[in-house]
Amino acid sequence: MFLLIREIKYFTNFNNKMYQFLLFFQPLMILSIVYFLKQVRGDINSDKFVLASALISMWSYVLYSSGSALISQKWNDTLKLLIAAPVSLFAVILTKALSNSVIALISMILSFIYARFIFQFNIGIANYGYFLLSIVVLIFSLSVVGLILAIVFVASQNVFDFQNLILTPMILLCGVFIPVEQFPVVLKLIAYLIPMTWGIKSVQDTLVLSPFMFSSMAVSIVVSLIYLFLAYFIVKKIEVVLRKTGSLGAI
Amino acid sequence: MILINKYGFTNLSYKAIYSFQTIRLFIFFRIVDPFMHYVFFATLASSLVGSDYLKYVVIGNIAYYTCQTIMINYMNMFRMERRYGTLELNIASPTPTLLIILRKGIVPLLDGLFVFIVGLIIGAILFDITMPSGNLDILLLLIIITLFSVICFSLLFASVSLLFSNANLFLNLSMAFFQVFCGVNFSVTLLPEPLEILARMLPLTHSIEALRSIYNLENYEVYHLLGKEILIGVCYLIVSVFLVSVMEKLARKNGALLKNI
Repeated sequence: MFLLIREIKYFTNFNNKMYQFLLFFQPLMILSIVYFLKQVRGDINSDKFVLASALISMWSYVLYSSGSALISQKWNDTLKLLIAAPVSLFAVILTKALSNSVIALISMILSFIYARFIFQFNIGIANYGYFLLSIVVLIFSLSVVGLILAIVFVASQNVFDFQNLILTPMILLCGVFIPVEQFPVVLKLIAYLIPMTWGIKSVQDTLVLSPFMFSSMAVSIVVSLIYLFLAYFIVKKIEVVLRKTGSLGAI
Repeated sequence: MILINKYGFTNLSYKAIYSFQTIRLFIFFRIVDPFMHYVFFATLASSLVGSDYLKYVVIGNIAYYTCQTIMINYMNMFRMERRYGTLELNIASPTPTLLIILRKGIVPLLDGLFVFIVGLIIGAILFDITMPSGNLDILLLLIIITLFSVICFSLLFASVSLLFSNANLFLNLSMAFFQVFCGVNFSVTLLPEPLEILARMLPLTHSIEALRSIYNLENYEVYHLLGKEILIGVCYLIVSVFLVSVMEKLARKNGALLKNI
């Protein structure tokens, strides 16, 4: 809990310019584009795009922050301290991934504030209780994805370049703009294997009070838990290899 | 590959700025990354407005991505010089500072050119954006003029970026500003009048309108727009040269350049 609070304080501090754009300004940029595109064709339902703007900013933040969670320890020369610490590496990375997902929530809240008060968009939340529940589910799925990214990017020196490459495909695959149901079979299968797809589906379903919203949430939790267990064993393995050999991939 | 001089000025400038150190990685990132960028905005626009709007957005983003590539590389060029303490050495050297900057600028120029051409090819193959025949000469002229105005602006942008300890936020805000105000995804005529005037002072705005007109997606007088783009480029060039010479004089006087930032 202490680490979680410290992380949130550090990343939301205005002196830390690394992620401020993603948290505070990216939603404004996307909403501005949506606002002017809406003028091209007036009869657009903007609710979906307000949520899309929030989800894009949340995902971008999680990708860049959690994706670099482990490799940045190498850059800052603090990885050896983490390995030597009495806390498991898994607990440290999970806390970071969790705190990053909670921080990403700021961009969602800001997206809604910008949408409502600057652009006069309708947000269209039918039931706030269910919506909050779906947000908790989304944060859990984002945390697990963040955890996996932290592990995957251990293999690469060009972390930021590869992060740029997966930013857009994930947004498109997870059904932010186009529902996954409309994808070709192969893409649909891949999309359903990503925990974030189900987290996003949960939020989208609660917005319209779909009869499938609880099943979406349940599937999201189950899929996320499977990845969480997988990640646990992989991080344990990484820890053992690092203690034994002192190096792994790019770290 | 044989043509690349391993220890040549341009090759060393490339190695100093770019994280992808091999030609293979460069080509991979310079094809896949812009493609993803176009797909993102094409999907956003077509799910909002309809698929008939897709070509309009992709063309805008082809020009935008070129501008983004050049601006980032120019900024990195200045940033790396400062990080490794060679900014002052460039000023102290007998070669004029502007000449050094222009020679180092060959890499961003070639990169921008590559990205622009690859963007147009991606547009033609994957988004069916085909150019009406007979417009190739105007298109080449447009590419040259766009690169000129964007480079002139990038020089100014990179000089100003030296004022920031962490230029990432400045860069991201500038790129977002360009994305919204240069008519990349929608016509600048949709902006409120004061903002449209501001948009027309930026590089790229007229180039995008001219590019869309060449591809028959808009109906403007292309040469008129290109004339304005040159004029804007020249204005930025004058301001940039002035700023670089002021920085040079300050550095010679104080023996340091923006060291405390």
